[in-house]
Amino acid sequence: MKNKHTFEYRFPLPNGLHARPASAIMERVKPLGCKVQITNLSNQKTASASSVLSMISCDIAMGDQCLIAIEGESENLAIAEQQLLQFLNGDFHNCDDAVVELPASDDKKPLPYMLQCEPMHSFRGVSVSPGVGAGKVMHLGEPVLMLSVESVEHGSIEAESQCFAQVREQLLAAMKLEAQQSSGEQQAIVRAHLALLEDPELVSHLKQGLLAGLSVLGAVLATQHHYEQLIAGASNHYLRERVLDIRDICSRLIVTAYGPQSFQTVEQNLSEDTVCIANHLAPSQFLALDRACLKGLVLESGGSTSHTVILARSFGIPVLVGVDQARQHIPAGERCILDADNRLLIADPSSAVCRYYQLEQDKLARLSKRRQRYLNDKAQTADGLNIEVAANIASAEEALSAFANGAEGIGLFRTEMLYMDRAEAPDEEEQLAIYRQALECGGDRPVIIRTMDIGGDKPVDYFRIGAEENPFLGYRAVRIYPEYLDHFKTQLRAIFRAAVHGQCKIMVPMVATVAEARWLREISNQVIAELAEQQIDHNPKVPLGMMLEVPSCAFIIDQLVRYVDFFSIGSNDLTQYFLAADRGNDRVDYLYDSLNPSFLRLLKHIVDEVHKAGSWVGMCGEFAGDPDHMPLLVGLQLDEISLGAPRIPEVKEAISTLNADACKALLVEAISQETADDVRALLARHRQASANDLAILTPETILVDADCRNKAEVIKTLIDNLLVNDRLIDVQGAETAIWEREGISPTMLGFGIAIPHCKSDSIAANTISIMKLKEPVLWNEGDEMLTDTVFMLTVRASDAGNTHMKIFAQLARRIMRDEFRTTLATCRGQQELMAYISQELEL
Amino acid sequence: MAPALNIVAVTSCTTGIAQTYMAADVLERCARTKGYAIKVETQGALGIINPITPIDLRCADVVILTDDMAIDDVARFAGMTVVTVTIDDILSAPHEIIDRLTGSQK
Repeated sequence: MKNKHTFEYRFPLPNGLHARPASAIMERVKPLGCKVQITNLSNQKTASASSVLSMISCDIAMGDQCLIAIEGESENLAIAEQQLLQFLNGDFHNCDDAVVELPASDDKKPLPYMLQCEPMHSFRGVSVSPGVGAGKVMHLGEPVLMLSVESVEHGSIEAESQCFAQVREQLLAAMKLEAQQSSGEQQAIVRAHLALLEDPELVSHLKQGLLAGLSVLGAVLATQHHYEQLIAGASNHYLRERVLDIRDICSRLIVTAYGPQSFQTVEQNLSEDTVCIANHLAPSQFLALDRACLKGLVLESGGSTSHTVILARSFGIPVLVGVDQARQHIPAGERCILDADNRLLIADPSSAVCRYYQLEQDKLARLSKRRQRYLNDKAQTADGLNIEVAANIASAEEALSAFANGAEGIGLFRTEMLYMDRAEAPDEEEQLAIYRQALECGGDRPVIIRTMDIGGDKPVDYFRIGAEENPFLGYRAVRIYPEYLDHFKTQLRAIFRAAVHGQCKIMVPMVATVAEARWLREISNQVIAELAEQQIDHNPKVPLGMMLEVPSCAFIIDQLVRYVDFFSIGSNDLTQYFLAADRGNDRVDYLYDSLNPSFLRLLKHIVDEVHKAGSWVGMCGEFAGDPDHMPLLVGLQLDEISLGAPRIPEVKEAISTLNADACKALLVEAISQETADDVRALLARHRQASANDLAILTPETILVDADCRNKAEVIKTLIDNLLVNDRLIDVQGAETAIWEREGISPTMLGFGIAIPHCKSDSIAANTISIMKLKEPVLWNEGDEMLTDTVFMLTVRASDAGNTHMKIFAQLARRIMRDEFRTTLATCRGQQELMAYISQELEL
Repeated sequence: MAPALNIVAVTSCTTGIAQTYMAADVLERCARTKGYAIKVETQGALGIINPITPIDLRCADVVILTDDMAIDDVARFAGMTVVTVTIDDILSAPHEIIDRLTGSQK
């Protein structure tokens, strides 16, 4: 006799009931010999547990209450029910991974306050190129169906049905084999896909299509479309993305039926603001994208040193790598924001999230406006010392944007990219054209071309270098030139020939000994002699320089200058060789710190030695790209620094505020410190000292008619305004300090006034900020007090008892007085407010 | 004629840059409108300002202390009538606090 039992079940898995857990249920239900139905009580959709697809379409999310009905022969029913319950309350919990997002606590740097407050569908990755971009998602390298229903052969209903049956059997067999041979995560996915292919609903839908006269292709596409529509209606984002599981199965059916040529990868054109997601991307593919539309790049794999990443960085395109299965999680065509600064990829951002990025954009626009003059002006300290600020590039195309960004030269043109991702080395003519392009772009500005740095960590097939245990200490750069002498000479020839078109210099990487320098000079002379003999147009007077990245060179500079004309310090490699710490190893990367006083001593020694020998020294590498380091770099008296083009205006501006003599004194003080953190603190004090002259209240720190929608926007806007007016050491630190104070008790005062305030190391200049809001905002959670006037007091932690403090105290007392507040309310403009408060506080 | 009530107070807030002084100001003005004598010592970012002297203590009928931060040298108030309040209490309801004093004072 048949009988039916029901029980309620609260769905426990964070990603909802998608293919993988659904197939796990199906597998468990099958041997029970009972009919099992699941009803999602939150939407009354019912599914059969023998069909994965039907279960997926129930749109069951975590926490949904479900009614499970089990029907079967009464003598088995109790046991079956018990087994099912045991499974659902036990193993079932382990059949899916936790939510894909990394918890924010995993990150060292907390998210900006406004983003912390907002629920987001977001993914974390590793930021390898800073910046923020927004646009529609495009999946790159996604295969495109090359067949159409019209173009494929179309047999009779019987023939197509028979063909489909064969195709399905073949694919089932192949996938079962795959399931056996794989393990773990991959096996679970194959099993889930296998369950789909065995799904009675799916199969019956396909067969219906065939019976209606469709070809195998037509039927598969119709079924795919049907389920895409069905699942696209699901409320759970994760379930919606399971469309990909269906698509994957359908694609495999098509490939099995019509062969691997059915799909091809084609390059897509960008026609609007786009964030591209790819597994990985070759530099050539990257360069083929329209950079006016490319707002960001997400790579599922790929490290921070890939050449695509280097290119993206120099074009100022934000890049996140290591976002696992990003294409599965964010469908093509969806809007997204890529925030590389916070290592975030946000799908389908809410309006509040968009508002945050709008405020960020406003801030950046104000900053870049402030720095605009540095696009043309040369870098110069306040007391008139020049230091050349040049750009690092990795392709000739970048030279143009680098000069547009204010580069005074190219301090490092990396050429290894020319050699990568191809079957053979570029010939002399090809290289000549590329170098010439960069040199012509530079005009009378210098372009330093660095000969190829190829080796264990940057493998190129036609150089048979092979994998090495320790590539950074291995066979690379200048060390491979004797073996591959023809290649090296070809490159030199191309450079000497291109040099007639501009101000060219040659630089060789990884030189460690005088013997290498001497050999380089000999080869270089040979190449010049050959060109002269062949009567080929060239410039024999190209300066020959070397990278200073091997510590040994610091002690033979007097000898090296006999053979080379200039030096450029490669700070990244020099730091890791000098401190013997692999910066890619997170257990020792704390040692990799270019602010280590020992390293600063090394730098000072190098620059002094080079100048004593009458030569020239620059620096390329990350150390030179940080505006905070400028006092040290100016203090070192480097002749040039070379950095990623996007930061050039910022760095030039930082230099313009410095005094060269003060920087020299600061450097001496820095090298007498004991730790890198001591040096950092010293730099912060130097920064604060230079901000001492700023008035506590200026028209710029008064914002009237501010359009802020809530407290978080008010605080962000005020803090951003401090940054734009150069009154902060660190934005995030200042914002955190303000919120920490608010956390103790909100600073709403009544009378429509709030007084957020903090004392923090992140403040450079003591400031009174005033904001009058267009529309009042709620200040405290839970009460109804509205604020329309905000006084923000930001104070340096180190200050106490000085005149600024008296002003703060005076202002605080004034705010408590009716007549002050009344007059304040009647002041409309910035100037009027400024005048009244200055008078009251006797500023 | 001597004032009906002689008050001494110490204010001190978390960061010591704003509310310490706001509370002092509001207490001073509030007490005076009621005809009481008051002296408020502030312990903030400016250090100790307007310190309460032994003579002040001898004349005082009642002491108001804020408890947002530890007050320096509370021992001097031993044996006196002390009313402890929060800075927020002072800022939001100064009159109630002053009025309460007449009840607490022996």
